[in-house]
Parts: sequence; C-alpha cells; structure tokens
Amino acid sequence: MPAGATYRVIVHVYDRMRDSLGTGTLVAELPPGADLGKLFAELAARYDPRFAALPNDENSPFGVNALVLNGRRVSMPREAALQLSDGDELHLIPPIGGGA
Amino acid sequence: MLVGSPAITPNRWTVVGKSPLTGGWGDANCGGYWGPMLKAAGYDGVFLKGIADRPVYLFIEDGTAELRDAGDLWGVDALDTELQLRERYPKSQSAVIGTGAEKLSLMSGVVNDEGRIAARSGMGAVMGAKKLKAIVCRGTAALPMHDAARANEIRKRYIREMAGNPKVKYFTKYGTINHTASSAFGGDSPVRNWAGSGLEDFPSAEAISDDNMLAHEYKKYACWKCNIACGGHYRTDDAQFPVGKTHKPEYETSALWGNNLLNDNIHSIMKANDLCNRYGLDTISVGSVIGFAIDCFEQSLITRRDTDGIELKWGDAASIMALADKIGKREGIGDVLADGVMRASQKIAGSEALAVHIGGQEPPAHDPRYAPSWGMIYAADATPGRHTQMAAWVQENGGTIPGIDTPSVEKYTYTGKGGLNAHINNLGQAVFSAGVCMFAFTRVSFSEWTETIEAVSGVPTSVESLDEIGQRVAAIRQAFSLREGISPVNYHIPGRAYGDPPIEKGPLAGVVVDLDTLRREFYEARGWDPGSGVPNTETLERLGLGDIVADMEVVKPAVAAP
Ligand code: SF4
Repeated sequence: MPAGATYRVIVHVYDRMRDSLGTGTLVAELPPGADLGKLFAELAARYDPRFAALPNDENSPFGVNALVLNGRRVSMPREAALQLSDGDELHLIPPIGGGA
Repeated sequence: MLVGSPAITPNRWTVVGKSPLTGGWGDANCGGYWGPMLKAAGYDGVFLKGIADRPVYLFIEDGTAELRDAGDLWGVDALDTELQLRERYPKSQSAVIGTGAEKLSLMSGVVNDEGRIAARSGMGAVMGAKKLKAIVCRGTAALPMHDAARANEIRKRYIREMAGNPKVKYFTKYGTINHTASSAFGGDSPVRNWAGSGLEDFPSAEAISDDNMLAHEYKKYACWKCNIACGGHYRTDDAQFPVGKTHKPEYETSALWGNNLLNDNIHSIMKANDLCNRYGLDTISVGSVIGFAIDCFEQSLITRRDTDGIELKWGDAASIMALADKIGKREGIGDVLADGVMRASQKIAGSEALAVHIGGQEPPAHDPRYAPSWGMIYAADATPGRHTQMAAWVQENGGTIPGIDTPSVEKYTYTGKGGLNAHINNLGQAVFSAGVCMFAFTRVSFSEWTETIEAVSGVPTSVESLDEIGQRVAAIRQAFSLREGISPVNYHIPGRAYGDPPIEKGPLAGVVVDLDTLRREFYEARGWDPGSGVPNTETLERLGLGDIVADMEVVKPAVAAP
C-alpha cells in the first residue's frame, strides 16, 4: 500500500440496523493504524450517530449482541484500542433476545 | 387457562407424556387453531390411556367424545389427513399424526393447521403407539370467564401498546427468519454438525435468510387471535424442489437444514419443511440426524453400502432430501436414523464424538457457547435441549422480558446467575402452561399476563404468585423424570456444543461452557440439591407437593451427584 493511503474496513450489518441504514454493507475509510474505537467514531460521523453506542439491547435498532472481526469475536469497548488492518471485515450481530 | 380467552396469543396447546426419546418428562407445544377448538368443544384437556386394537381417531363435539375408526386414514400423511377430516367434519380442527409417527419414529410430533407441529420429545410416537391417528374437535362453547368484559378491555389495551412497538412490527414482517445468516456468522447457529464456523464454512448463509426467504411468502399467517402474526404461507415453483404451500420454514428449520448442513438451496429448505410436516417429523431432529449422517459418511464411519448408494455430501441438497425421504419412510439407512441422533450413534461404531444430543434430544439451533444459559437449561431441565425453556439466555442475547426488571448479565460470567435463571424459568413455566406464546412473552408487558389471568380466573395474580406456580410446575416435571430413572445431571452432554475441546476457529474459538457452575447455582436457587437436581423435601412441602416427597426419597441414592 502506498504511504498515506487509507485503510478500507467493511462493516456488515443486519436486521433492523440494516433496515434503518438501507444497506447491509458499509465501508469505512480510516487512516493507517486506526483502531476499533476510531472505526465506530467514523461510522457514527459518516452513517449514523447511533454507532457511538451499541447497546446489547434488542429494543434499539442499533443493538449489537456480538462483534465478529475477521471471523473472530471481539468486544467493545474493551478492545477499542485493537489495531485494524486494510481489508478487515467486521460483522455486527444483532440481539436475538426475543427467543427465535 | 388462557386458551380461548382474550389474552394475547391465547392459542397454544401442549402434548404431554413420558418421552420415548429421552425416557423422562416429555412435552411439545404448538400454536394454530386446535387448542381453542378443544376448548370450544367443551374440554380443557384430554387424557389417553391404553392402546387401541386398530387405528382410531377421537372425535370430540360439544362436550361428548367418541373413538371412531381410522382405518382409511392410517397411512395418509398428516396434511392430507387433516384436510380429509375437515371435509368430513366441516368447521372442525384436528391434531393428527403423520406416517412417521405411525412408524414410531422417535422424532415424530403432532400436527395441526396443515403443518404446525408440536414436534419435540417424540410425542407423535406416543400417539402412533396408541394407534390414535387424530383428535378432531368441533364446538361453539364460549370460554367461561370471571370477568369477560375486563379481559376484553385488557386485550385491546395491550394490542395498542404492541402496535406502536417497532420491534413487534419487524417480527410481524419476518418472524424468525431474519437471523438465519447473522446467527451463522455470529456463532449462535450450529454449522457443519456443530463443528464449523459460519463465515469460514458457510459464507453463503444469506442466500437462505431474511428477504431471500421472505420473497417466497404469498400470504401472511396468524395463529388464533394472534395480533403478532409472525407466520406466513410459502411456495416455490423450483423445478427440483417445488412446493405448493407450506408454512414459513422457521429459523430452527432453516438453520438446521441450511447452516448446519452447509446447504444454501432455499427451495430444498422449503421442501424439507413440507416433507417433515407431511411425515409429521421434527425438523430440528431430522436436520440434526442428517448432519450427523453426513459427518459419519465424511469420516468413513459409513459408506455408500450403508446409505443405499447415496453419496452424502455437505451442501448437496439432492442427497439431503433423498435421505430425508428415507427417514420418513424408515427405509434402509432411514431406519437407522429415524429414531434420532443418540440411537443412530449407538448403531454406528465410532460415531459418539459426532453425536450431538442432550439426554437423547437433539438441541435446537442455538449454541451453548454463544449463550451459556441456553446450554445450562438444555442440560438442567426435565426436557433436555429446549430453546423454549426460559432462562437468562434472554438477557445474554440482548433481550428483555418487558415489565420484569432484571440485572444486566455478562454472557461469559458463570457465577451469580442462578437466581435470575430460576426466576425467569419459573415465569415461563407458569405463563406457557397457561397457553400463550413465547414470542408474546418477550414482546408484551408482563402485566398483560397477571391482569388477564386475574380477569379470566378471578384469582388475584402477581409476578410472585406466577413465580411460585412456575416453581411447582418445574418441580413436578423434574420429579417425574427422576422417578422414571432419568436424571438431568446424568444427561449425555455433547462436547462439541459445549467447548470440550474448545473450537479453534470462528467467533466461538476458545469458549468452554462452565455447565457445572451454571447448573449447580440454578438448582440451588430452586431449592433443589445442587449436585443431583433432586428437589429438597422442604421445597416440595413449601410448594404443597408433599405427596411426591416419598418418590424423591426413593430416587436420592440412585441420583447421587456425579
Ligand atoms: S407470535 Fe407467531 S407463533 Fe406465536 S401465536 Fe402468534 S403467529 Fe403463532
């Protein structure tokens, strides 16, 4: 990657969050070295301020029960400082609390 | 008590018996229209003893009941049986068995409303063994209620409350099919017979999920008097797997026939739903046993010689459906698999590690490693492997029970959950026994149940009184299983689903469920012995169940803590 290029991180969303955003796939452009915390700040700025807080709560369309980064579980805010890489993919798994 | 009343979702009926699948308490619950019609025909429940000497059905009308000859219906599939009976008895509703239950498959259930099935515990085989093809009900009696006007007013109020809830609206649109893919990717759903991970092994899960499934809905469906209306009628004119009409394949069906078999052929999933409904078989168990068989084939524990020439392959819809048909008919390899994973595994040498069952029951499509309290209740309740037994999995998954304040819960913290698990389970035991739907339990204020039960029965009702009723229900179920020699603490626990050994890939990597701690604390909070799960004498006496103390004294030495 050329110096100064941005990292592209793909974020997959589901369920009511997808409905609310009108798409299931978001792309965040981040400066090299950005972390998970920075990604959510970018998503909040670019797509929807509700990305700033993702409660584990099915009552919110922005509720998230699990975060899966490149196939592995990560947790926020505990891992907010986790460094991202270009091409990373994050899945925001919604709550299924209603028993389905 | 609430079936036939103005409660929210007053339509659920339950088949209860000794489970031929697990050997302990068996039950299976279902919606539809049959339960309210049984009430309208003048009965709260039906007890059946003995075995008929030839196929019969029970005809119940306006307070009378009679066994009639079912010789012409024996051998007819469940859906056609129901249609024939409705033609014979206009305006009736029937609960019927399919040919799978006639052949005593331990994965068989009881069907109503052309494909809604009380599927678990092998209750269809109990009817099949009794040669009872159907229970037909017809009647017009109104449910006697303490204060019908108040019950109706309460209904209207809660329907208004729910109508404004976006979460309910979304559920009305999709029902359970909105998370087949996200559950595969997040780790909730089993993938590749519980040994895989969605993103790596089944990245095409979206092909069978959400709008891709919804696109096949041609008509909405609601169970009797249900304002949520999460169901739908589906069809596909696919050349290989055409289906004229079937109920929406629920998440459980889609996950176990899709994610778990790496099968992204959506038409085959609708076909599997229809096929299982016709045979009267449990889609969870049949999907599971097919996953087990493919795994055995892949590991060369069985070969084409054992499978009647079928080459079993992950994701191969044609061989999956061919196997399903053989299971329904109990033909060849189908006969080996027709009684579920545990019994199939006993017949296939070396297959134990691939056999995912809990005490004989195939678990549903919710992984204990994703929500450990689900894993706990699967392994602690008298009916093993049930996602419909309430516990703190609701909170672990980000859900709530509206109107019930609960502390926040950390998924992977194993201590301190016993009281919450017991309380939520008790409330579920009580409210579900009253005959309403789990999907309403988690979507309407709990005060709906206390208010309506009070209006219908005239008995003052509170969260506390329902908790106590739930304790009683749970204790009776547990005591029944123990008396029959089945102890939940001795259930077979499939290591694959609990992290023994931990999986190395995917979002569940490294998760090991501390079942022992969760289960001990749950039993302790119930007033049961934490090691053996036998209800304590004081608990039984406090609950007014002194008459089962003597039975528990007999089982105690046999159920010493493992
Ligand atoms: S919520 Fe769905 S399953 Fe439950 S009673 Fe209503 S339609 Fe039936």
